[in-house]
Parts: sequence; C-alpha cells; structure tokens
Amino acid sequence: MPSPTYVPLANVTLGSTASSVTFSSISQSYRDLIVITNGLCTVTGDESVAQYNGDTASNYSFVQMYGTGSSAASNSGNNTFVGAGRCSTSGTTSILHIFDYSATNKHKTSLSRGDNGGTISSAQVGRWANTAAITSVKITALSGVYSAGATFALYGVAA
Amino acid sequence: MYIPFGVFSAGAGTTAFTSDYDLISSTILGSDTSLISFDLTGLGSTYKHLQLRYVARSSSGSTPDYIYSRFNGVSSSTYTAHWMYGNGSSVLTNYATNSNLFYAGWDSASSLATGAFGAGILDLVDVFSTTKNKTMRSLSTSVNNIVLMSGAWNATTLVTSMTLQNYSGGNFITGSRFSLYGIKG
Repeated sequence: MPSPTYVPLANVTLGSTASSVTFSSISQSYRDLIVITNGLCTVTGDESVAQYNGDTASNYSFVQMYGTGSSAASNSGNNTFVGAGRCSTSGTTSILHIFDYSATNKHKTSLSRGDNGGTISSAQVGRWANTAAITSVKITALSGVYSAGATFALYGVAA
Repeated sequence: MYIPFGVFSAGAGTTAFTSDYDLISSTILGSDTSLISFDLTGLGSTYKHLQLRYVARSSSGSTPDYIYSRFNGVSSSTYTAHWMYGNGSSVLTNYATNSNLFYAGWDSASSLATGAFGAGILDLVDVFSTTKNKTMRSLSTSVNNIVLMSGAWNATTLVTSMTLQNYSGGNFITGSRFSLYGIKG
C-alpha cells in the first residue's frame, strides 16, 4: 500500500493584512519542505523572503537570476533571509523548495521560483549556513504587507 | 469523526489511501560514490513521469560541477542540452548538442564551505513513452550559481535505467542524497 508522499502540513489564507506568516513546530518526518504562495501583497514587484528557526542574523546567502521582459540579470550576497519568491498587488505564484530540512549535518539549501506575470520572472538559490534541523519557517513580504486573500501552503515530501 | 486531510476513510478490506506521486527510492550516501544507478525496469506500467530530487556535493574542486546522466547506458551522441544560469553577477547561457551524455543539473564543489550542498529537481516527462524522444527540465544549484536546464535524449527507446555521475570525474560525497519519485498519469 503506498504511503503519502506529498503531504499538506498547513494551509493559511489571510483574512486581513499581515506582514508575515510563520509555520512552526514543523514535523521532522519528511525529506524536503515545499512552501507554495499566492502572494497577494500591497506593493507591486515585491519579494517574499524566508527565515528559519527565528534566525534573523546574517547567516543566509543567495544567488538570484531574473528577467524583467527587457533584460536579464543576476545578483548575489549575504543577507538576513533567503528568497521565497515574489508578491504583488495582482498576485503571484511562488514555490520554495527546502531540501533536507531535517538533516543535522548540512547547511540548508533552498530553490525558489517567483513569477509575477506583470513584472518579473525569477529563480533563486538560498543557503542557511546552519546545520540545525528546521522547525519553523517564516515568510515575510520584504517591502509591503500581504493582503487579505493571500495564501500560503506548506507541504512535506516523503523521505 | 475527523478525517485527516489526504486520507480517505473506507470500509474494512478496501484500500484506505491512493497516491499518484510515489517515492520509488531514496538513497543517502554513506561513503563517497562515483556512480548513482536507477533500475527503471517495469516502472512504465505504473508511472508516466519521473522526478528526481537531489542534494549533492562533488569531491572535485571544480565549481560548479555538472551532474550528467545516461539512459540505458547509451553513450552515443544522441543527447542535447541547453541551459541558462546566474552566477551572481550575470546571466549566461550554453548548450551541448549531439553529446554522448545529457546534463541533468549542477552540484556543489569541494571548495565550498563544509556543509554546503548543491541541490536540484529534475523532471522527466513521458519518460516511458516508446513513441517520443525523452525530454527533461531541471532547476538546480551549485550554491554559488543557479541554473535552468533542459535536455533531450533523441531516442524513442523504452527507458529501463538511468545513471548519474559528476562531469569532473569526482565522487558524490557522503551525505549526498538522491530521491526518485514516480508520477502517474
């Protein structure tokens, strides 16, 4: 008998504006986590970012690649978060994959796609330079706030 | 009675759960390994597509290292790939046609900080078709690069195996992980 492989762990639909959404007490029973966001927010072309286990220090790094319809560019750096996609006033589709989140012998690598049909298409790699298992994920709108109706879904992918 | 999301309660003697996205195999390396092999024989009767999710680091210092694949052990010049990548300062693109391997994704090099692993998601759509060439796409990273890659094996042959190796010749190091999922259609 097959076991659940792609398991919904939590689902949030905002009833009012919020600057962030946090998934906490995350089960350690899976291999990867996936956060899917329809990022309706108050600033067009805004970013969604992720932080783990309440870490707000500069323990994250990223490389991003994006296209605006007229040009393509890449940037990188150290930061206090990793990219989790995009958000905008018209909504976006963003998917954040967090690999081996429960491992305690690896830094945490993430891959995200953020697509806002109105302004940008982007992909980003993130690394949290910490071997601790991830037990919470906080998704934050970088410039504005999320609007009512924005949705956030957390999935566990089986080991 | 509360029914957990994704689980359907049924009468005694019937299947309580159906799945269309199944874990086929998952390996975490206990030692450095040069070749990862998947036996795909017979899977086409159940699955239409495959997805490989991996976390990998090469023993080579080359950065990034390319993970390449072959179907059915075929090493003739029947593979093609195109990719674009961001390295933190610019977006670049490259390709390989009539190649004897197909580029599946990138992994991290030994020169990176301890604990830093590359990762990727490789989708093989209609991989068991015997009327279509085999196509794939991937999103992957070597940690200091991010790459979108597409590839093709120009053959309608039934796929029965897939292998992965580092292009540099380096091993996949201990702790690297390869998980294969089957998707029904």
